[in-house]
Amino acid sequence: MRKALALLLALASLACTAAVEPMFRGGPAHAGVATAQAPRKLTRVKWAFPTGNRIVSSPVLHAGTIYFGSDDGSVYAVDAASGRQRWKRATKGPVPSTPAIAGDRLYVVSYDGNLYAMDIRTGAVRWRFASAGERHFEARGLHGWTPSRQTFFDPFDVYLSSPVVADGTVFFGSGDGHLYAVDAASGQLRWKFATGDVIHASPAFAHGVVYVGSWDSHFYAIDAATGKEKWRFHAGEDPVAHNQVGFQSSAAVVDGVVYVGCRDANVYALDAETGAEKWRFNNAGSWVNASPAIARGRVVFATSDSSLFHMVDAATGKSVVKQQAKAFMFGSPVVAGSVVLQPVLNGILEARDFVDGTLLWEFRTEASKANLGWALTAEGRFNMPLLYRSASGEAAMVGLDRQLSAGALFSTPLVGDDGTIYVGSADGNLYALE
Amino acid sequence: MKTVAICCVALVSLTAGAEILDGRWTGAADVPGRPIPLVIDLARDPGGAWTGSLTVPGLDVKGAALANIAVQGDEMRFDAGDALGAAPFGPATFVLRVAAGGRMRGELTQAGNVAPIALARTGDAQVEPPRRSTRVAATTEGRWVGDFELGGFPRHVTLDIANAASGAAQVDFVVVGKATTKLPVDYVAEEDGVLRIESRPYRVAVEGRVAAGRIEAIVEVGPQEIPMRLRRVEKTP
Repeated sequence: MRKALALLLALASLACTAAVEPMFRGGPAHAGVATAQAPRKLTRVKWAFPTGNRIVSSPVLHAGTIYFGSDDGSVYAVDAASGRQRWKRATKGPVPSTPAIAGDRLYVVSYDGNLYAMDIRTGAVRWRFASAGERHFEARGLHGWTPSRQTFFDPFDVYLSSPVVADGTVFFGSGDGHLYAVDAASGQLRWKFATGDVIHASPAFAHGVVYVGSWDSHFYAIDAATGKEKWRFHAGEDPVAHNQVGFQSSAAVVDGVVYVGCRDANVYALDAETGAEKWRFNNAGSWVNASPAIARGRVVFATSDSSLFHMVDAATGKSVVKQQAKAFMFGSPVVAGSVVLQPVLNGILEARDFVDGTLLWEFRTEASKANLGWALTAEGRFNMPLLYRSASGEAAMVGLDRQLSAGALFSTPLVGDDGTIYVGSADGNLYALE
Repeated sequence: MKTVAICCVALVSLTAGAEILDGRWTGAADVPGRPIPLVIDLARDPGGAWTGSLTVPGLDVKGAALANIAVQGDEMRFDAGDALGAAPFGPATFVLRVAAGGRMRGELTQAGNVAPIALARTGDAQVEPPRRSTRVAATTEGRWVGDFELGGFPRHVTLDIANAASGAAQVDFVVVGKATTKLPVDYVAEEDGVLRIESRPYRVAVEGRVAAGRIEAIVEVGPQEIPMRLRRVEKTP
């Protein structure tokens, strides 16, 4: 009976889902819904493609080729069937941004401060657009670290803004605090919009409006044609530790509502036209860095410190499903038929049932299994006493480095038309699972 | 003959094992990818009971008191208290056995993970005496209440401080926020009018100067320091 219900849900979902576009969260509105059904049982690792550093970028699929960035500084094109490299193109900085493909071009942001337009067949650079330069979010005494007068960059600010392409324009945010609109064909600036701090979320686009949150604690709606502000929403502030502030999550815009997570521990539902708050879901101090997925009247999201997997009613914000995961989650959930794929920072990809959130299967990276330096407990939770020994900023940086050694999954999984799942890991591998 | 010789050696080892545990033992736990260096000091106190301390360079553990030390023959078991993590991560437990040539071998268990340990005797024991709570002034005893805010939520604190018959002060430390939490207090001291109360498993401490029925205090919650004024109140039955 339950299998039949799951199948019906999957079919209903596939019937009403718009085609997935090769960009972050499957399209400009960032709904986070795949067109294909993900497997309800994991059979095998089809292939693993190694790169030279961690993969934070999320893979996108176009015409049988997987495209993604690596923190080794290159953008990769890999054959989806065989896992063989088609091309790679070096930039001068890590690429934790997810590529967007429109026409025969790929657009991606590098930590070298450039938005790149590359030929999807060869990786040849067609043009580069330079922002005023990338940087991480930073603050004095960040997260309560010591010395409190020291300015620390935030090592948990792992992503770069993933471009979105709509109406011949590439939109992306930058560490220089601007939202940029660049002509997709020529690379010429159309407009830029200044915010008060770093933008590393990916802008969403719907009905001629661009939506993005900044680390200045505001969420913005910007007219895509003119770059003029339509409205802004003020989220929480944290002037002491700068911990409970800023939008790292990217918004999803569905049926006239903007859904977005925030480091102030809330998930917000805002009216897309006016910015009026419809509801908020508070997570008791836990960041929501993952981007929510919106499917069949539910908002699916995951939290960081409290490590909770949630599904709430999209209309009311009331809890429908809550499941405890083992570790922090930054990577975004993807709804693929009757399955929700949720990447976890302990190096495990979870597959959960869409109906009740129960765990169907999990894929564990080799790095997670190796558990170097006992970054994880025997159960797969973060071994906090060995990772974070003191409040010193240096110790925190070392702790995070050890934490990532478990093959953390920051990357959002992609589900191909045949149900194959592709996901990047901090162990440097892009995995294909079936 | 050979069997008899082995038996004799084993018997000598069993009887002498306890004494050769004394000393400074240096080595590592072979944790995959990142061996954890260990310095373990073991000695008997004047009453003949085993005491010990643990130092782990790189993990900010220096001279942590060993707990629940048990010796049987040439095998010693103990735990590290909360030095390598309180529950559910700890306590980390050690099992060590005397080996030939001034060496010990055994296992470290922490957070469900198990790694082999190899140690060599490198000198005399330098057991670090555990930090002990002290008595507090009579004017400090009693009930104190105060409030602070953390993460946008108010917290109400109640401290019941009393000198125990054994000498050192004891504190009941209750914080009421979204939930009511009774924090285990493992250190209380008052020196030169400055009172310090620590709950190390929760990484919470209160420190302040007691004067005129008030304590102008700082609450330390992990790395954060938050001002709090405590005032004396009468206990209600």
